[in-house]
Amino acid sequence: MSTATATRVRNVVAPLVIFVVFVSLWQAQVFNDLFGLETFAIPLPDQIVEAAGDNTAELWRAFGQTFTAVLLGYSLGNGLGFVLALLLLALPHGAARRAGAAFTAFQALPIIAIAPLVALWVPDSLWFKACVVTIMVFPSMLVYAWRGMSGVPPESLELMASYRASTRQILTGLRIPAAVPQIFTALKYTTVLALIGVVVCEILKSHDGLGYEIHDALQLFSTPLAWAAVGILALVGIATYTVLVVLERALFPWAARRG
Amino acid sequence: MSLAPGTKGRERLITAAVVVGVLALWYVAALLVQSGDDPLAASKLPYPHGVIEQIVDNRSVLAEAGWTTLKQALIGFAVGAVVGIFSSVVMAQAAWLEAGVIPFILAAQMIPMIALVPIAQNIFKNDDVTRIFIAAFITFFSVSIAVLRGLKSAPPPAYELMSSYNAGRAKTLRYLRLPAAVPMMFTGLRIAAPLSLVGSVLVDLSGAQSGLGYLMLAAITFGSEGAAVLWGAMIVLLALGFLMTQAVVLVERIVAPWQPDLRHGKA
Repeated sequence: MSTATATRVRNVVAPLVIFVVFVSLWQAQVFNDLFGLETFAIPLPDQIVEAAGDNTAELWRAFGQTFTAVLLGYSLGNGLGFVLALLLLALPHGAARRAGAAFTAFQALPIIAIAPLVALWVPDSLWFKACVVTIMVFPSMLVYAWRGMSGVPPESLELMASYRASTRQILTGLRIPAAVPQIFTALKYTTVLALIGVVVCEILKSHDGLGYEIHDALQLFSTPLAWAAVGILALVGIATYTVLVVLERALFPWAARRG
Repeated sequence: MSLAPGTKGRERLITAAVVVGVLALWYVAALLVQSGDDPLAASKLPYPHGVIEQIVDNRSVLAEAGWTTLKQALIGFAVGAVVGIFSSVVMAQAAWLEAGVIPFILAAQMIPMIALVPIAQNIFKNDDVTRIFIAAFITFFSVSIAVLRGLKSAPPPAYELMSSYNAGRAKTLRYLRLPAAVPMMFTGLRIAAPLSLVGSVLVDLSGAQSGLGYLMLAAITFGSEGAAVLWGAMIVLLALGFLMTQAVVLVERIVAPWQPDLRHGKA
């Protein structure tokens, strides 16, 4: 009991100590001296906070542009992935397995390579980002949702069959609930994919959003502002992931324990 | 798992049919796109034979650019993997250090590290160093969290066995925890391989003067003249990512053939 409490305390205190030490060393210019870099290359924490404070309106607008694209692409991609997983489920088993394997391989590709091509097809900035994100996100949801829905134990299927459950009832009563842990795994994993996709698009071509803000601030030699934009992206990533973890625990506590 | 010859033949037939079907669809779509008067049609969707022609015609350019991008990604991947593995093993030796570092490595997985590309370019002022740094940085986080998890993955009875043999910390690490960490380490490496390539390409895309990403950007900027290389560069990049992942899988098969995932022909 006391060791469990000690572990819990350590798990909170140790990261805090490391964080405080790290930021203090950074503020004391130890890293700058160590790597021989001036503060205009690696700005100090207080400069970054100050830059964020001085440019709140601009950063807020850029955040809005980035986050809209993330949300749009993320929803479209995960929705598409789920619908395709349902279609895969309707295929004969052998064909579905092969298609699943193909999409698993697809998942491992540097899909971001198609971003310049999408830029040709979709000139609109928001839709360009959303399309790239959709293409990056959907294979993960497809693979995870399909695995979850097709991986139900045969005994459960037999039970459903003995109740004369329709395909639809098997889907809503058995397959989808069984796939909830995998679906959430995909939902969590694709948050960072969506952010990566949008940031790459913004650095590559768009003239809005936090990715462009980083690029633009560096061109104007306001490094602290660029770092502030990176910091906001980091916070957005951590926040969206955390929201999903909380949602999963609140809505599907049994799935959260298993996943 | 052995398939009857008939089944195997049918599988091949179906695969061939799918490939032919996709190619046919591609030709029809390309025909539709090219029949319009869009000057960029050739870049947007060339014919399949046109793409192959592009790759063959521009093979030296593509090979050079591909090698630039791949080389730095590989160096960064190797550096990140070695540093990640080594530092995780060290961190796993002190419980308080591990507890202190894990939240940050976890958080790093949720952050689009790619946003650091312009910042790194600004610091290093050198495209090659930036590519290596970004690839190493991304690989480091994927690999170190995987190894840290893997080092803890051995079941409690295994530890009891080790202590019944009076094995010390070093022997437990060598004979239990390190082998137990190998499968997860390879999972981390498999995830990191295409990501390190993405990191390297993004450096090309954001202002470098070489590499596959630079070729693609040039293709877009120069309109129809540059169209020839866009698809070629894209396909080479996708192929390189695929090959890097497959290389990791191959090494895994050689190094850890006992890995349960591989025994059943999965992964």
